[in-house]
Amino acid sequence: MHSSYNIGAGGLTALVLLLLSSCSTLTIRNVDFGWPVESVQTVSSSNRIEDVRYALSMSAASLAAEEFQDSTALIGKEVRILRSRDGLYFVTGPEFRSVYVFAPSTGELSLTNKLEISPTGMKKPALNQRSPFVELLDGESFRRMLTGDEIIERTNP
Amino acid sequence: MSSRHSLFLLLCFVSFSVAAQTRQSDFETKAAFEQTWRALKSSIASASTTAELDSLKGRIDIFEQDYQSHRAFLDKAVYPETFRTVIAGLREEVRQTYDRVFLIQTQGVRIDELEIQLASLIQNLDSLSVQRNSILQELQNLRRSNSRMQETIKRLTANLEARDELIFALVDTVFKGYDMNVDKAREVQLDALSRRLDKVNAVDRIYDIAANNIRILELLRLEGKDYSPLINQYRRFRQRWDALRDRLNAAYADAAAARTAKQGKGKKGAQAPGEEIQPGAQVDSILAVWDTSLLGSFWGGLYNEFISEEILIRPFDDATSFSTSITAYVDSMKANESDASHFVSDVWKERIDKHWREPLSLDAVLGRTEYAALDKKVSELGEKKVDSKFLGYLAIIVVVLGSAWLFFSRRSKSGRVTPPPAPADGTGSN
Repeated sequence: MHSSYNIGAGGLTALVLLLLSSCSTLTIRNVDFGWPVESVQTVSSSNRIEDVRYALSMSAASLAAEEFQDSTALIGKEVRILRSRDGLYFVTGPEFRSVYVFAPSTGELSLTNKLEISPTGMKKPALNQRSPFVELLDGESFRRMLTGDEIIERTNP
Repeated sequence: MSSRHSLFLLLCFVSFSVAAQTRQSDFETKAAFEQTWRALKSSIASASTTAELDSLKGRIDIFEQDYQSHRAFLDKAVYPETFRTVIAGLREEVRQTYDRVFLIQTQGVRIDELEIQLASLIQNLDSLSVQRNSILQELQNLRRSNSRMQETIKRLTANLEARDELIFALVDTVFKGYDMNVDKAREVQLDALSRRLDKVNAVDRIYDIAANNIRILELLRLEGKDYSPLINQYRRFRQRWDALRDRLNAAYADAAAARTAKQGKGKKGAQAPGEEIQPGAQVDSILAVWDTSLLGSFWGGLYNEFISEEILIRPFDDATSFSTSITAYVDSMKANESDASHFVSDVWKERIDKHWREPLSLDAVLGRTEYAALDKKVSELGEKKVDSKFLGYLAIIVVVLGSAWLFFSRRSKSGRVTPPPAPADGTGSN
């Protein structure tokens, strides 16, 4: 009986180890998703943003509704997108008051943060990759250093 | 390279250099870099002297310095190119173009000399055009004075021949130096050739000469002998044009293709596939009109020679139908044994042979052999008539002489006194 208990304990241990190993996932760390330069796209008449180089295609309707309370407000307008080193998508454009931060998942982009920049709207915003940050410019002296969560550094005229 | 192009490039440099220094958007930096890159490529492609290329080398150095600080960024931003490959590519293009331009300047074409030669030829051509207009005006005033008109026609013909010589010499000069089959130099050569063809306005000038000749035909009241120089002039013009047409069409098409390729590398070409550029087509059509007018006038004038002398022959409008018509007329005269003296002597010998033989004997019209055959046929018709008359007279003379001989021979026979035979016994009759 005692020996059968010992065998049972060993078998149980082996079973647990086997279960644990089958549940583990392969993870590659320190991946740089950053685009070297932002993508500047004009929203098509079908209200879509299409980027050929990065093979990104999405509707602009939800973004326009959120920013301008009009789902068609972005048609024919310029939208600037930059993917950060972390893989988050930073989206903004002229007259935007905010920079939108999206995280990708299967077949969708989910808003993780909306960084309020200017209550009157930006004039000529631009996004630069400054790892680990994303740099937001609007004119020569306006600068914000952004992460997915917050505005780190401000330089105003 | 035009001064406008140079100015544009300079402005690009200034503005983009400023942008590179004061810029803050990476996107703008990339766009400015790419725009300057494209402008430099375009300038290199259109450069036609080594001096321009030397200047471009300096600009590439400045371009490299301006963007050196963005090198790491540009290596990623202009993927699949890198900053180094962009600069190296520009320098390689300068080197290749330098080779081509140097080849043309040293071995190919003495462009400056040819330009002077062209300018002189164009000036001569223009002065001949003025002279021709003055002769044409004179011709219109002289329509009633036949002898002075003939003299004016001679001057006009000489003027037209000089113009023909000059226009083809002009086009030959344009093509001079562009016959080398050197692929390296081909694109630059075609570009320069196209510019020179546009400058001399070759197709329009050739068209103009043909159109003027048609106008002159309408103005002139031509006689048989006048046609020889005009037909010869047309034939020479036609042969020269035939030799030139394909070359000219090919040059225009190649130059247009090279321009399209240069302007729209990577873009859809402005010229649809299969579309052929044939600037010579308009000259072909006017030459067809010239041919019809000249030969129509010639055959019409010749036919009138017969009709005005009431020789009713079948109408004709080319060499074959003329030959057939004359042969049929001669045959009918023979068959009917009609008197052909008027046709042979007054019309054929006096008018056709004297005034129309020369143009008819031209290879482009009837040809020497064919004319000689027709002339023999017509002459035989005359000779036959003379022979029969002669034979008639001869027969009459023979008959008269025969009759006379018979008559006299009989008379002499009947009038002879025959002495009576002597009596056999030696006594007289008393």
